[in-house]
Amino acid sequence: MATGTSAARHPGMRTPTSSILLVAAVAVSASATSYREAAQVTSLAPVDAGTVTGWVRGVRAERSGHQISSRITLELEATSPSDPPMLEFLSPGGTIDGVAMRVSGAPSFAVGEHVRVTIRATRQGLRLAGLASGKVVLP
Amino acid sequence: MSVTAIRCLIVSALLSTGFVRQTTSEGTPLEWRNRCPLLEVGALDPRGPSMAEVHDVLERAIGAWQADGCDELPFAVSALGGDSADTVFDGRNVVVTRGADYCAGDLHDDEDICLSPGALAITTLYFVDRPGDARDGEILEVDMEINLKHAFADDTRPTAYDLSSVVTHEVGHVLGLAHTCSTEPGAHLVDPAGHEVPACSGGEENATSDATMYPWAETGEAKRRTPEPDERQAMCLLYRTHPATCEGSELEAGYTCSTGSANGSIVIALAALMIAVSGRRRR
Repeated sequence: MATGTSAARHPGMRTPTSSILLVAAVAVSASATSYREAAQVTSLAPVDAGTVTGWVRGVRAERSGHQISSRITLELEATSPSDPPMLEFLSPGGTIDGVAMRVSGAPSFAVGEHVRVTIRATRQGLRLAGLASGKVVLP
Repeated sequence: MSVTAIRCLIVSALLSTGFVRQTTSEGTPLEWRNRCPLLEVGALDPRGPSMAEVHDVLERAIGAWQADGCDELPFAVSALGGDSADTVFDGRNVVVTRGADYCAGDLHDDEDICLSPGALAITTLYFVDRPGDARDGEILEVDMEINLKHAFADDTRPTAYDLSSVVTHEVGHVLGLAHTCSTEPGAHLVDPAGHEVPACSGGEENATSDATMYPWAETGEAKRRTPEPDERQAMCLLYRTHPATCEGSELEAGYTCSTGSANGSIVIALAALMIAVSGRRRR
């Protein structure tokens, strides 16, 4: 569970809204805690979500309305010089002042992890999509 | 050795039989303590199961978790009173249904039920995560959302998901259980007993895939209405110190600041999070 590990903001970091431009549109099949069908781990995400790959550089819990989310800072890999090297998105759950929120079936993030995540642009910026199926830990 | 420690040891021994508990960041198992939680059913989409049907399914799901000879899961179920509760941290344990068009437009686009439309249901837990604190691991509130984007029925017709199976699974989360296998591809998770939690790859052993807390469901399948014996026995052990029935003043709608044993700083934190309800509602 993310509990508020901070990371320095990169000077070149774009806002979450503009960062969605980096997200490749990857159509995935739709499939929390109770999943529908599948013996394989298929994505639960909406079809208009996209994926990015990088290293987790920061995990910071924050209030999100009446809930708690974790702001994940991802250092992207395979970007061109004109692309921002960092991206931020929100993942459900986190701990603030000793009170934790957890969505059953949602992943946790740790600084240093190499991951591929499925994210989607929302009114409140980029958010993880597909709960645990939206995070793949890479070697 | 404390009673709690003994119970943890017993439960840890049961972990090897396809049973995983949710824990805090430091490994304290999550559980309800000294309270009689009230699950309130409300905000039901009119095109889905009725209040009476959801109420009945919840009652049966709670009953399904009671092991033979163990009637000590003191949850109560009622219709949602008033109109102020929601699936946010507001001190009330609510069970709602989300209609098929709930995620149309962008009004709810940042909610997990819309970011994970493939999910049949989602349960959110709030708990104390404060290492060293006497209340560490205490569940404060739960909210359950049932996703009517998918077809549900209370039978085994092949074109719909069995509502009782799904709700029984979600009640397992309400009680503090995690999935029997990891849905996080590539992650190597370890349960509190030190056993590696298997990945959900489709090749799990029966002890994992037959459990009610297995995360995948098929249409026309009802076997997860009844938790496996080890799952029910573990629940019995965990909650044996709780009152056997829920009556009168024992009922608590989740956490309230009037709870006498509340740690002061936690109360402050809760108060900060439970700010006056304003803005949009997730009804």
